[in-house]
Amino acid sequence: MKIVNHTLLSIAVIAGRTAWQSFHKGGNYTEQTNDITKDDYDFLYRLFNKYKHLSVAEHIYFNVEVETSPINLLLLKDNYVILSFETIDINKVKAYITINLRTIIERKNDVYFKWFFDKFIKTNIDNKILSLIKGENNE
Amino acid sequence: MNDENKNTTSKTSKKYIKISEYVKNYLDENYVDVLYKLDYNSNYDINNSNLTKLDDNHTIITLRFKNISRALLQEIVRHDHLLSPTIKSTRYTLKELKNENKFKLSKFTKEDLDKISKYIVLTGNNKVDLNNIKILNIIRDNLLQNISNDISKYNLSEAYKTEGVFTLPLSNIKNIIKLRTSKDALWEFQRLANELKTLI
Repeated sequence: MKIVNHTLLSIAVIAGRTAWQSFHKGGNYTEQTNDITKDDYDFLYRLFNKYKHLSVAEHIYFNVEVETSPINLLLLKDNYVILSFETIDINKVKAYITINLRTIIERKNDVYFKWFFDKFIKTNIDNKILSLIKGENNE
Repeated sequence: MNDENKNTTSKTSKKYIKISEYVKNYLDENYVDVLYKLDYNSNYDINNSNLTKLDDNHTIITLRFKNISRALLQEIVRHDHLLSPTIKSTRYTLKELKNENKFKLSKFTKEDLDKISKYIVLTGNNKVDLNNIKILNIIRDNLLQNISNDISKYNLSEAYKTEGVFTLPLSNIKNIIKLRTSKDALWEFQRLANELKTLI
């Protein structure tokens, strides 16, 4: 399994800063990046974990490629993911999953989603994003 | 129409212009920025035939729409469920009007109209635009009388400007372009969709 690519974090910062017009506090990136400033990271952390303003997390998408059983894919199907797949053999499919950060945050403990989060996302994701998801601030 | 809005030159040699003339000749705005494109297929070597090329649903694009009216906003947000809008909040930002001087209702210079068009979308129709400027003054008065943003905003007209960041699949953007470049679409939406078409 691999995370092929994902939207960079600065996009979520720009979206959040747009809502409150707080560009004097940050979010001025000429090029999009994952290396956001500490102020901007704290801003996202507050939005996701304190205020539960998760619509901002919808701007971060992940492209994930995974080989798994068809049953597992069925469990994922209703979890707001964009899904394409090809069959490898009767027990295995290769799935291309496009999923946004909001879905991951909201459903990380959901029984039908947890297998996917634990097995694939948790182990492959950037630590910075993982602490945003789990609400565990390492700073 | 108001005589004062005619093309005249005052004693201080300030050039007055009609709103319609301003919209036609001076208004220079753009409406869309493409902030980010997340393309699944860009990771693949297209010459390697073993790999699948995924459809446009897997290509996610983040757009910033700006200088759009609330009339257009409400048409955009009902377009699709996979749209993820984050919109400039009037609840928090309406206070920006407090810092402005009272807006003039006649004898507009280019600078006056630049300032007005920062807050509302000018249609080019004198009567409609004048009413919208009056509404700006009303809201400004409300705020100065310490009526809260949450209450004052109920006086807003559809022309009031907003901006937002939207993240959606390329397939949905193509659908927006297809539907809204049509001559039957709202004029403002046509303007936005045509610009979007050149960017995607």
